[in-house]
Amino acid sequence: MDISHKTILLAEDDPNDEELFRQAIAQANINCRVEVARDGEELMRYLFGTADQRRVEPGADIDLVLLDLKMPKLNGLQVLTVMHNAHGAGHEHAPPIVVFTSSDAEQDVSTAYDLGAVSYVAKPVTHGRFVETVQQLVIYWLGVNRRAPRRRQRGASWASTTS
Amino acid sequence: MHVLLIEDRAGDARLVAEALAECAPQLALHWSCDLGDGLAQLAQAPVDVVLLDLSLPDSEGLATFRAVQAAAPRRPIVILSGCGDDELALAAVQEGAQDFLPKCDLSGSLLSRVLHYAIERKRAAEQILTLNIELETRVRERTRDLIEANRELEAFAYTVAHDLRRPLRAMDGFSDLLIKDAADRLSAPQRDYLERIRRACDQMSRLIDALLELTRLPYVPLRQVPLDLGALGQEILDELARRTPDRHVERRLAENLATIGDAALVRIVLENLLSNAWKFTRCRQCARIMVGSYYDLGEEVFFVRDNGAGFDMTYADKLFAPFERLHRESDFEGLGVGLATVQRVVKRHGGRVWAEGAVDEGATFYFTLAPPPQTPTGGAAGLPPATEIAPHGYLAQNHPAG
Repeated sequence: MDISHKTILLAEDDPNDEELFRQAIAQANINCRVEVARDGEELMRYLFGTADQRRVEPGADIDLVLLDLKMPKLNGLQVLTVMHNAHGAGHEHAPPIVVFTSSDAEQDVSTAYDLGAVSYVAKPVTHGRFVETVQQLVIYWLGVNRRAPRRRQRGASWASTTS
Repeated sequence: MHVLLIEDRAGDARLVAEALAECAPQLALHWSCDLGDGLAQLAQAPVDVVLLDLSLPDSEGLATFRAVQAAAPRRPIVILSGCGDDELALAAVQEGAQDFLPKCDLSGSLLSRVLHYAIERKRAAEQILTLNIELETRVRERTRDLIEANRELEAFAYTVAHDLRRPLRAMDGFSDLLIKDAADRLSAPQRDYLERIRRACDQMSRLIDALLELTRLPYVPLRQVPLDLGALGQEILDELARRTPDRHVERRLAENLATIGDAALVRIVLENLLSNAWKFTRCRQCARIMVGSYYDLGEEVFFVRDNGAGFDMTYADKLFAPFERLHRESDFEGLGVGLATVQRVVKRHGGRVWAEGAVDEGATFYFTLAPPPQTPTGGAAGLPPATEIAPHGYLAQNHPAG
């Protein structure tokens, strides 16, 4: 399956988890691009651009966001809130967000879905299961799943959608 | 001391005034001849006690009393009842009047005593009321503190679980990667070290899961349904037998172990107790596990008994504490949360759990799934409270099980 032209945005502040993620996809010869955002703010810049250079289509070059809930600055649920508002503001084509985090607390799961996450996956601790989970996740979202066709969009900044 | 007399008949008022002047000259008497004036006086003048005739030109019967009580809820009221009106006066007493005095039987000493008593009784009642209100406020504050503390604890457990899993994933992950990448360069002991790291990671991961489960338990809503502990026990034992086909364990389950409880939670109790029994009878040629019940003072007590490794009663109080273990990991593996979980579930049902045993002579775990029945004196009947251990053999001797 050739997904070399696809890009994952991994929102992850732990370099260990990042390396384990890269190893897991390398093991399965998955050759997509992986961008990393180390905190919620960086993730927002990736998706919406900076204050001087706003993106017309937030996250247009990203095919999947893997979101850790526990991040510095803006945490995962705050990021989801912003994205949720952006969807309401006409950015229906923003990339799908899959929560990929250590927590399996029911409250987090339901809040994440309420805020528009398309999937919620708890990171396994055991390495074998972690690798398996990452590979299945990436293959499904980048290889198997088809996204809704693109519609006409309007520009906006994430800062304006937070208020 | 000020007495407000609300009485429309001048003759009766004079009788009261004379009786008071004779026996209690220290009482100052104020007189209102109808309810309207009486209420006005109550609002203005200092009044220690109200002497009230219920039949007034502008009000009649209990309505009179209620009006005065509403206007001065903290003042004692004594009813001045017409002869033969005792029933009405009693009704007023039931609604909070301090006492009643029949007009036809009015003596100075009686009047004086009744008025003084009324004032004192009302004061005492007011004090109790104040204390109760204080107590309620304090209980509310404590409850709020407790809820807050529980919430903090929950948040703490959640954070701990989240933050501990992260480094664990790294340890397990990189150990595994190292084993795979350097497989041909690792000596057998080196490889073993890495495997040990991975096993320790796995154990800690399960500890974290168990810890989380333990903190969640008190918040799970109970769904009580009829249960058959015999059938449930059979099912669990069958599964244990399936997983360890080389074991031969004699299983004795009493019939008719019907009870009421939360199916999922009670299953956790039996799973823990039975898998413990299964584990600790590993050393026995003729392993035996019994599940049964008996009645003690109207309370049904269930038990799981085995003839396994047992435990030293000296350490019995440690059994149900989380992460406490009485056996070496090398002898019997385990996390030390099973019995803590059992205790939480049992407590959630209002029941108790306790154990008895001896080293190398097996163990018996007893539990109830409902609050103990109340004795006529109001105390809880019979058995020791949860975690308190019955003297060895006590239950077995007095209540032959089976």
